[in-house]
Amino acid sequence: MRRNFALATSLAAVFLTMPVCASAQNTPTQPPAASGRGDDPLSGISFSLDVSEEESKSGASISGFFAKPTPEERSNPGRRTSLGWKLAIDVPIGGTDDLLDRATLDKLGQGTKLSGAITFLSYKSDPGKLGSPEFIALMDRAAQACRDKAESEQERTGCAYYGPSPSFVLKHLPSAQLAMQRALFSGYWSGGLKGSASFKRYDWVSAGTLAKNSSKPTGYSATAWAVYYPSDAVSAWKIETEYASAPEQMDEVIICKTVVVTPNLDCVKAAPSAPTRKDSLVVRGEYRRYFPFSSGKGGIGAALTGSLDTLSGDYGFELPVYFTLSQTTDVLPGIKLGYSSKKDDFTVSLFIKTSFGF
Amino acid sequence: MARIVVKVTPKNGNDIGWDVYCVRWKTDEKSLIIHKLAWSGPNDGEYTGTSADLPQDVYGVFAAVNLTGKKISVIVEDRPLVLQPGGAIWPMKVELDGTTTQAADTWYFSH
Repeated sequence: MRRNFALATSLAAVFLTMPVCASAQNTPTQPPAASGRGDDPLSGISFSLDVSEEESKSGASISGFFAKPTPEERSNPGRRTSLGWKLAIDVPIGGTDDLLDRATLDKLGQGTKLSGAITFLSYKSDPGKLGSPEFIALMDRAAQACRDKAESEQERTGCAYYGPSPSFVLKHLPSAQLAMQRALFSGYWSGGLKGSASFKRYDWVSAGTLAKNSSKPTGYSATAWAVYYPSDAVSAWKIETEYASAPEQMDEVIICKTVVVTPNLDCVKAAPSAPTRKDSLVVRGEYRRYFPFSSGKGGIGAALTGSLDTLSGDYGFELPVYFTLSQTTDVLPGIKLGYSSKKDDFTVSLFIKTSFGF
Repeated sequence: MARIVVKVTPKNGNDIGWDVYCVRWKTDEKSLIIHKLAWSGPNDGEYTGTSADLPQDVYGVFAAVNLTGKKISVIVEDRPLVLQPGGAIWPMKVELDGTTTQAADTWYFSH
């Protein structure tokens, strides 16, 4: 259904979508989740409920570790590595369950989905960087900024520091947040492998007889991804490749008996044949970045995602831009640009309540 | 001489994605000494790090987190007066709010 103006409400987001291309079929879409990063190695059982116009599902997962740092390793500065696992189930609970996101070419979204993943995390802990010349230079600049703002000798005396501290820099020199983070942190990696299978019943009607048919073909996919988080602590690079083989429902058409006597009874709107299996091999790249305001309060986040199906040649991109005005407001406006080559579909969406996240 | 005992409570209960150390800053030399902590736990979700015997001085407890959504609370046993940041009260909380991928802080106290 083509809409010139659509309003979609969800627990997570509210979007306003306006078509830019006359041929576009616009469905309000939520900015992409930090896919893959949702499989970060945490242990335990979790449940989720996600309701929106495009995607309504409930989910449950259980996760744990194959390997993690020992107490002895924790005592020593250095690299930490962990290897975790996760089993999950997602079940559609209403609304449309065609979860295909054309801009990111996510093919395996239909029906109940089971998945298993192995994730790794490798990061470096180095408190010694607190004493690095770069960090101490920032401490001295922060102390000087404090003294410059002081209105009395007592206040100036309070600008001395007992030792290097991130909160001291952020308090007195908030504009140096990125420089401080680069001086203090090291880049780190996460990544993983994931296998999924989807189960759904597909119905169709035979032309001529209007006999009802159904089948339950299984869709499956395998995904590998890696994410690098640079030392600035406000950006992430992700690369992902996904092979999927999934059934695709035929578009509904008007189907009639061979001889039509009463059109209302002898014709129905339904899929004309069994779903066809489509294979895809999608390579996806993403750069996610948060730009904090120099005041230290609020900022702008963006996540550029490009996807290419190497089997079909389809490609797409999307660029949601998020505005964070303060930590307390519920109004989190943003805009998303998206393009899909499959239907030459360019969209611009406005949203007012979706927060940026890594 | 006495040991410094640090209690850490991660929000999700596990020991991935956070690190805590004791440090001492030598102002004159502008150098940082890192004091290792021996870890035990968790007990009721709380990890305990214990230093070697250390002389009286001003020490810092450095805490860092990785991973989105990570949040830890850190308390030094007996809750000594926090010298920096002035007026702060234990626990020290370090968390990632979704706009950063790493976060850290250091509080200084008399030991």
